[in-house]
Amino acid sequence: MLKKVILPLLIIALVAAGAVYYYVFVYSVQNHRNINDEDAITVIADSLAQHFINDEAIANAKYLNKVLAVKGIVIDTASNQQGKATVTIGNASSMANVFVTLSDRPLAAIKLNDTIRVKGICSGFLSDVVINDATIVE
Amino acid sequence: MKKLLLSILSVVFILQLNAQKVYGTKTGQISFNATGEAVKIIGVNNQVDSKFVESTGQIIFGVLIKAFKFENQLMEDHFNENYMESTKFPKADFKGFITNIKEVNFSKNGDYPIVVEGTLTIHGVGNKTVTKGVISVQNGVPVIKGEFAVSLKQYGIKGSYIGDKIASDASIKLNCKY
Repeated sequence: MLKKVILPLLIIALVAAGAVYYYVFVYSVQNHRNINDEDAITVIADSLAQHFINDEAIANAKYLNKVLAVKGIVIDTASNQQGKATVTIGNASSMANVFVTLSDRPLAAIKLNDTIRVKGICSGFLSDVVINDATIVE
Repeated sequence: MKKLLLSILSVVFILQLNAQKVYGTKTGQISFNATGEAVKIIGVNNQVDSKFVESTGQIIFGVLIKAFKFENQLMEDHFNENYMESTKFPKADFKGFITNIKEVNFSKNGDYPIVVEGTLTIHGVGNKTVTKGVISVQNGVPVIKGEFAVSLKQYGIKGSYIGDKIASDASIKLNCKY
């Protein structure tokens, strides 16, 4: 009788522990947040930067941690210390613009003054609005 | 005479330019390591915004908490939601001075030890802090490197596992190329 109860309970506990271990240490390493699974908020680079300049708290409430599709003119391109490509879009004469880090190297060369659209996660506002893990849509 | 005046003027002008020289980057690197018992807890941020003034040594760093990337998505989510509360406190920053900036020769390659003093604000809490670092100058391009410990408790960061699976002092590594 006792064996009949304890054995199944033990098996259930083991399976549950295995599932938790798998979710925490295997699944969560292999499955990162994917911007393609989420709907993007469409916004123009200039007005996005302006929103943050005007009121950072309101802009954070609206955009922080959300996936954004940002359209704007390329005013600078570079690569970061990790070797990933970065693009600044917006208006060269503006105080703040949108600083985008691409998740992979861009397939086509991006040229200054091109108008592009990127999709990525908004991390917040420093001297520019920061967009992370981005891909070029067009 | 005119030539002399012009050259004096241009020297003065160049000195003035030098005096105002500001180095900046938007792609500095910072890592956060709170590995406690066994499990690796490391986040890396590649969007550090930093500027410093050569003449005065005044220096600022700005970091967005949501831009820290972890190997493990669940860890990144917990870091943001349970510990750093990054929706409420999206940024960490440092404002201060390199107190011995005069000892750095930006026109000569080499490693120069520096002392940085100022206020570090994390999780909405500011603390006065002093730390050591190095400026490496390579062909006129300075790189600031430093490593220091941050007591999570001092910045009001609470949550389970701290002092156990999560170290109570996080090790912060900085590497900014200007």
